Amino acid sequence: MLLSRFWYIILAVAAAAAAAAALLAQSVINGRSDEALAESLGRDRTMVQAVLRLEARSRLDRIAFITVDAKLGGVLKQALGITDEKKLRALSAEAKTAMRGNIVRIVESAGSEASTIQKQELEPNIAFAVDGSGRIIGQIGPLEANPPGASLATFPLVRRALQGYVRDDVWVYDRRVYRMAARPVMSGTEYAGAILHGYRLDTGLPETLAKYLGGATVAFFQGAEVVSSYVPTEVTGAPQRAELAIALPTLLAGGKLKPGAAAEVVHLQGGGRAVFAPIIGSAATLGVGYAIARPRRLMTSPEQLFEQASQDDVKSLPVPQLAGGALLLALIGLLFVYVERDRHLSQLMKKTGEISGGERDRLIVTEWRGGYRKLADKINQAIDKEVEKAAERAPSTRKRANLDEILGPTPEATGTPFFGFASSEPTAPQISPAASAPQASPVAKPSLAQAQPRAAARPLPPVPTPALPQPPARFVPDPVAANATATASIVGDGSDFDEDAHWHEVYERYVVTRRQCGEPTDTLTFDKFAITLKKTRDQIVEKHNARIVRFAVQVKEGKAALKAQPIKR
Amino acid sequence: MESAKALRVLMILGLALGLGASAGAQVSGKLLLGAYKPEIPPATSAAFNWELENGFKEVLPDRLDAPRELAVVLLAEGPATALERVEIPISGGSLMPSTLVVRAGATVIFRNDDEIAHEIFADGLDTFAAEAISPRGRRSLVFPTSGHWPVHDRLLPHVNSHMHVLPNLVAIATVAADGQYTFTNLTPGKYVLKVFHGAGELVSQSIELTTRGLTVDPLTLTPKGP
Repeated sequence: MLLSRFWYIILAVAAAAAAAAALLAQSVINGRSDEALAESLGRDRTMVQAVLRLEARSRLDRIAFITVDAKLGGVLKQALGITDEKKLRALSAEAKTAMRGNIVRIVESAGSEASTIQKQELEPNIAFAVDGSGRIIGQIGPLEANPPGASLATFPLVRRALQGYVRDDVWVYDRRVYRMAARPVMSGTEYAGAILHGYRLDTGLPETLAKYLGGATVAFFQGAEVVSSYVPTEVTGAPQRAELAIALPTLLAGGKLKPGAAAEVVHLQGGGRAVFAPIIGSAATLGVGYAIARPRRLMTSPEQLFEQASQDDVKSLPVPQLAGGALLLALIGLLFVYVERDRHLSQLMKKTGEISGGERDRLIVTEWRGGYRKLADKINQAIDKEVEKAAERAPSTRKRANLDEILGPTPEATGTPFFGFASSEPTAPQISPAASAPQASPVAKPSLAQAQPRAAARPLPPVPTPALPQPPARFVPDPVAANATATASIVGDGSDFDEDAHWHEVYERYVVTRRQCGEPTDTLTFDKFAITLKKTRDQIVEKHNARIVRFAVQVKEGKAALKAQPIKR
Repeated sequence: MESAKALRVLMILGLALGLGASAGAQVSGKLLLGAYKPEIPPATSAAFNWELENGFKEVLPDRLDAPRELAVVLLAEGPATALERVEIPISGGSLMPSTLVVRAGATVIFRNDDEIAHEIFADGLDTFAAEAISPRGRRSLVFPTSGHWPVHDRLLPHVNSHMHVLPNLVAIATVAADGQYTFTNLTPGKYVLKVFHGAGELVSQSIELTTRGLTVDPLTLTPKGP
């Protein structure tokens, strides 16, 4: 099973390598996913900047008509230089009336199909009308109850609007954040003052931005406080407002939110990623900015590769090559298994079937290799034990097999060589017909029985079988042919002589010959046969100074017999 | 009789001259603003998305707001009772003027004339830390140490004032939009006339004041650095 085991090791290593590749792919994909997420957030930031810029432009365009509002321009021109409080209040009231009229016009410009919410979003949350010196003449919003006269002259937005520029900004005014738009107001052909409209950073803007980005969380912050945010409900694991708030103090302390600082991808507490950026406007130096966040999608196991694969990915797989490769690997493994196991197993099944069918008594151990040889030997031993048990359970009238009778007396007992030489007429052990028939008691030959104490100590149990018939007359074994067959193993000078294999072969031939001669073979075992052969071999080697002894099977007088041939040194 | 009459006239004339001499002299002059182009520090970041001309009329050029940005002062040895307690308004979103000059040891009261709160502070001066001044509120501080400090506002990023504390400050002029300035109630003597803009000193000139007053020749503003 060496090839099979080696193949299993190869397959195991291949499986481990495939698993390692899958885990590596998972790690690489997760790394690429992080890079893609960082790039996505970078694009998101660019998109938000563009949208905010366009939104600022739309606010500037929305108040363009106020630049040439004659009524408001006249009021602002009159107010320049006036210090009388009573006159200022009167002018302030006129200015507010003109401003509210302008706001109504802005809302109406959205059209009748615009929703109430859309119209409300067009109304500014704060508005100023300032004279040529920057003094607030009219105001709408949280501080409109204040008396006129306060100044905005040093605010860069106001200063530039009074010079005639159209400009936007982001203010923190009275601790609230406003997106401002300012334009000059003219009276005739002269600059009379300026108009400013401001919108707070409410939930409408983050939601609008999030829809542009598709699936991102958007928030505006002022210092360490998130002032407005939008979290998409359709995105699983979308970063929450609280996660962004948690990250702010660290960023502010590290100076990473200052204008001009490079935007970095921030790891949020919930696992998502975010970029924080300062707003474009003077409020940036006061820590006003926006954040964009997306969830981080990681593969937790290589199995998710299949879930994330698209139809195109699946179609691009080389299916024939993969299937062919898998089939080839399987066939190689099956081939090894067949060669090393199934073939031997089928042969074993066949041989054991022959045993069960009575075609043979035992297995030829030398036909097998490795574990199968051991198995064959164990099977033979089991057969022998079962035969012994059967004999013990049912005593037989049959005479126990006696090797001495079967093989004849030993040379010491008869005074003649037990086995003859190949060159002379061998004196084959005579097997008497009486000995072949079962008898009540065994006839103990002193020499062979003594030579085989084991055999005598363990008499063979009688086999309850009927007396075997005389060999059929028509079957006359050819002793010459049998002998020739039997001596076929005697070749060469014996330098590569395998004694054990030779004895097995001799034993098998002897059993076959006995059957052919109609002699019983039930009680024959190789072990007992080998003991006799060993003893005989030793005697011949000692006596004739032989290097090895070869045995042959022959038929003599209608019975199977053995002949020994010493090979001298 | 006639001699008594003459003596009375002489006495009256002498008294009038004496009174005139102690009534205070005046120094005036003009700053040539047109040629002065202050350096504008580059912006660290974008302050706006759009800044466009309105399309109806040409825009006005940048100009120096002399009353808001310049400080014209006189220095001399001796006491200056009028400057021992001064009130500085915060108006239009910043200090008025944005270039402050105060006498060392004087009490300075910051008055918030705006409708929103301010939190002004001086960089590097622990005694002038950020503290909120509500609308119409006041904050009083004393600066015993001479020196120069930038002054900012934690709530309004555009506030970029400068405060100069001088030990021998004796007078602060009123500056008009055209650059005309005037000192009044001065004692004849020798003075040093200085003009400050932000952190820098633009003019430093010695003058001698007589009882007849003095009109200083027009001054060209040249940045000399802080």
